[in-house]
Amino acid sequence: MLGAPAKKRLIALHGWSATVLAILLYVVMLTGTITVLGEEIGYWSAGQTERTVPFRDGFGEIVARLAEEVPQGQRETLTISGMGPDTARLFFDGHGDGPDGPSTHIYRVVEVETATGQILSDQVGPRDAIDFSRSEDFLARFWRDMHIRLHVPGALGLYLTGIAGMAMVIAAITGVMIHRHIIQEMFVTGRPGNRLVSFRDRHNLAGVWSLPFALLLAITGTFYSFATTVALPVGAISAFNGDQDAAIAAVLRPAPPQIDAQAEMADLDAIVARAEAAAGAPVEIATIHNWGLTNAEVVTRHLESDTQLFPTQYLFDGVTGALIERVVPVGDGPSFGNALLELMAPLHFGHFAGLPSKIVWVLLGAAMTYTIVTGLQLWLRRRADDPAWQAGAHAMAVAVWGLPIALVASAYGFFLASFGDGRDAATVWSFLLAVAVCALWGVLARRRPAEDLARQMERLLGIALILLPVLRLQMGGLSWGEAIVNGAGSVLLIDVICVGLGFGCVWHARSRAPAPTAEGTAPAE
Amino acid sequence: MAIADISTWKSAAGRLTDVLAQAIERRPRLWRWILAGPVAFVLALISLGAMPHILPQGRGGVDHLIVPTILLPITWAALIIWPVATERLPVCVAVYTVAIFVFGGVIAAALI
Repeated sequence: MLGAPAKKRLIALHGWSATVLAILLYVVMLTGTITVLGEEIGYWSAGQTERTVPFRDGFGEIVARLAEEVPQGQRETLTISGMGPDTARLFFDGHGDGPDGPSTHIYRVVEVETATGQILSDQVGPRDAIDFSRSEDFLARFWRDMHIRLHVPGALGLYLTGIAGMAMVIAAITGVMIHRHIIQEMFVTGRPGNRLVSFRDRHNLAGVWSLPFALLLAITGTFYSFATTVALPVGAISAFNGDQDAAIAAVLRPAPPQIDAQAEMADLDAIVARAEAAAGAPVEIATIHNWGLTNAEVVTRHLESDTQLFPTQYLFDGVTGALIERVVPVGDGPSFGNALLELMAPLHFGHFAGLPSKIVWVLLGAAMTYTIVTGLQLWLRRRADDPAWQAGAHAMAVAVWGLPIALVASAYGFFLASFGDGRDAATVWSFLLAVAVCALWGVLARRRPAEDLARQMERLLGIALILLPVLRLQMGGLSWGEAIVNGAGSVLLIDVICVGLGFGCVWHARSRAPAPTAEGTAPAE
Repeated sequence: MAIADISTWKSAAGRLTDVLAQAIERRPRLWRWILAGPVAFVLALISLGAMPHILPQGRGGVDHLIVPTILLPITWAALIIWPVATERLPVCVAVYTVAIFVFGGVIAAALI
């Protein structure tokens, strides 16, 4: 049982842990909530019907013909993935002559029509010479990278999101410790208005309901941020005398070594058919090590089927075509660590039961985002009399509404540049421009109540969201009729979410109380 | 060695412990900051480094590497929250000190 001083300290830790990193946490949480539907957003923005698989009857022969034309040294690894309804990408990775001498890392990226084998593009050279990006799904990648690393390059971005995740873990645990009547608080209706108790009620209600989810997300998210940036170097120093390559080799299955003995490859179509029969799901990605050598291996990665929680991978002998084993994510075989690791992805991304579980994850993510915002409002309300914190209410309104406005602005830039070459740049610059405009708006509105600013920004967000599907259609995007005929549910889903959310924002902005009353700063307890 | 000598050592250790405990209790806020901040961070990293040598490898040969990584956020959070919540700071200092020496010793033994 906690005493009063301990509880007071924990409340301070709960508040400070979330407040110091509040903006960071809010950005990660909001973009994370959106990114749960990242795959659907990718299809929606690209006007693509649904998830594509590269293999169809006879495509194995096309791959074999193309692979045989690539010099042996440049086809150490060949990765085949779907690009669109009828196109696939062959990604060769190997060594050859280049700026670093004969052992320069050389890539070859071939985009090909899966039915005819017609080559759409062919790039070869060192890493700097290859354009890996696809502007069709840039918008989804832009939003996802903001969630993963806040667009901060290198490990620093992952450190930042990891620290934000840690703040959330601490806020969630201390939240449990300081709320004595946690079950009771699950059913307390928030008191209306802008009083301190109203903010506290809303924060408690959203926080208590999303508490288990917050812990789950924070722990899995922090794991993803720190696994390669903290745990791998520390583990390598401690257990592998600082050799990170040895640490990686111990965890991940190493590729077979390059040898001189050549052999004819097995029929790739037959391997794919065998793999799909074993997995009960289509091949999403196929990776072939040492094409044309006696120790060639084929690893097939499959989409999740209805009965499987995780995507499965199978290993085949590349020469005989025989199934060797089901590949586990890490290590030499199934184990407790593997089981835990496999659980990380479905628990963090919420894709374990398809779209229904993703929708639940989006709603819980939205509740978490709301908890962060109301927590910050509560923090600022308690310090409303302190001049140092008075600018905080305006800054918070700009941050809370400015971020979604900037995200929607980046979508506008993406669609407006559909017919040009600079779609990536237009997306980024639209985002930055919207951030600058919102910041300026906050400065100009500093003499008015922060509530007014928030209401106006919310209304603008709502209108922008409603008009976004209209712009998408005007710029040649997949129409609703085409989407229905082609079974492109993602296009309909995201359009409906935009319009629904837009009307919700407009309605909420209209129904908000005009300004805080004199009792707004009355003590809560 | 005479019994009296042992009891002398014991009483000296007891006195030292009392002095240290009083020193900690005189500045509780400072000690909470130190324990929940840098000490918790260092201890979380040291425990992450020591666990591969303590935990079993498992059938896949990776449990000792994967499990501490997954538990890192919880371990670190627990190490931050305990000094903030507890009233018995000297106990916390003692446990953290022992843990640093034990885990540090495990890593040092593995590296030497």
